[in-house]
Amino acid sequence: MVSMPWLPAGSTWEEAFEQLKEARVKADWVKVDGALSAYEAYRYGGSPATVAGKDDVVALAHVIQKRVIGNGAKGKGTRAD
Amino acid sequence: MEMELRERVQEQIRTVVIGREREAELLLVALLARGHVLLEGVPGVSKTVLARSFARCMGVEFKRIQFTPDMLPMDMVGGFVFNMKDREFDFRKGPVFTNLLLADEINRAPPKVQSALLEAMQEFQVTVEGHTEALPKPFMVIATQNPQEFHGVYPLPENQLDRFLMRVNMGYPDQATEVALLRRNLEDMDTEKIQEVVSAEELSKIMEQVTKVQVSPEIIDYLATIAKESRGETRLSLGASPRAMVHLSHCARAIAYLDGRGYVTPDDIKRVSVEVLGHRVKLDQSAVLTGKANDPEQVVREIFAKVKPPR
Repeated sequence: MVSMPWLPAGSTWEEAFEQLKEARVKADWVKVDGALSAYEAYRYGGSPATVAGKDDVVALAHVIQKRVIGNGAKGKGTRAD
Repeated sequence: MEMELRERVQEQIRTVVIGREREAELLLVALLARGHVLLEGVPGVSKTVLARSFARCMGVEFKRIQFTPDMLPMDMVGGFVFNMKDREFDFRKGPVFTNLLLADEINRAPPKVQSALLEAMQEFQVTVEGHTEALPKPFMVIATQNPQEFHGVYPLPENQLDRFLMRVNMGYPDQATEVALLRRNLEDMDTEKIQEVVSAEELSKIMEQVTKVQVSPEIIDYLATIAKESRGETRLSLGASPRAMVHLSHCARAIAYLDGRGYVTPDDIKRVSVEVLGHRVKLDQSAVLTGKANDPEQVVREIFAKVKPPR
């Protein structure tokens, strides 16, 4: 979320990802969505933690960082939350 | 099956009503959450056809009451009639004894009738002259009202609006939907062709499973924070009630179930926040007069945009 400073404080991960999809940010969205589902199952459903899709989420964070810095958001959103 | 239930309901309703997929989903969520819905919209936007189509999909008994200013509570709940044969008074059930009741133009009924219905909605039973009779299960009221009417109507007070799980605004269709509607033969709105998607027995089992969907402590804290924010919001003179927040959690459970999950996420809460809270909060008059707010639903959206969900 820190990588996306334009989002309102009340945004969820799903909303953040929807915005990125609409902005045509390149990522393996099937894997990223899968990682989000696994994370939510762990976070809200008590399922065991998993690292599946972690690399794809990190890759996505890097893409966003480049875009944010490229858009002149000086120093903001330079690390993934 | 859970993953398909919503889609199957929408598919059946689409055969009769065009462009009301979202409303169909909301009706299903309300039914699974054991709540009642207030459909608000001008005449001719398919409120009644939608309710009738939905009842047919669900395979439950459906009755409709057209509310009028000269109605009496017994026209709806029933009353005691003298039985000449047994020389005793028998209770004759009114049209409220059904599974899905369409209360058409609820704001045309006088307050006594409205409160009799709202008591049935809250207690799932009716009492007439000390005789209490339970309503069939499931019991859901879909009430309609036209917000543009001012003559011969009795607006529902805040405490009665609070009994409705959701208020769904049915606006005019967009242009593409309007074209599709005009192309289709208007006579082709026969709800008889709608097929049953789920039996009453299956529905009862599903409703039981919905209650088992997990709501984590973080989600409960999130709901409590939203409630607190709404009560402290200066543009509102009335924030979300505790009942509103309980209703919101019930709806979120139903959405999670329909998505095939056993737990609620913040997105489930947000997806029905406007429909569940929009009619329960009240704008502060000074905020309206000073132009700080003119739409309670927008204030609800802004509260949700401000409160950080558990992530």
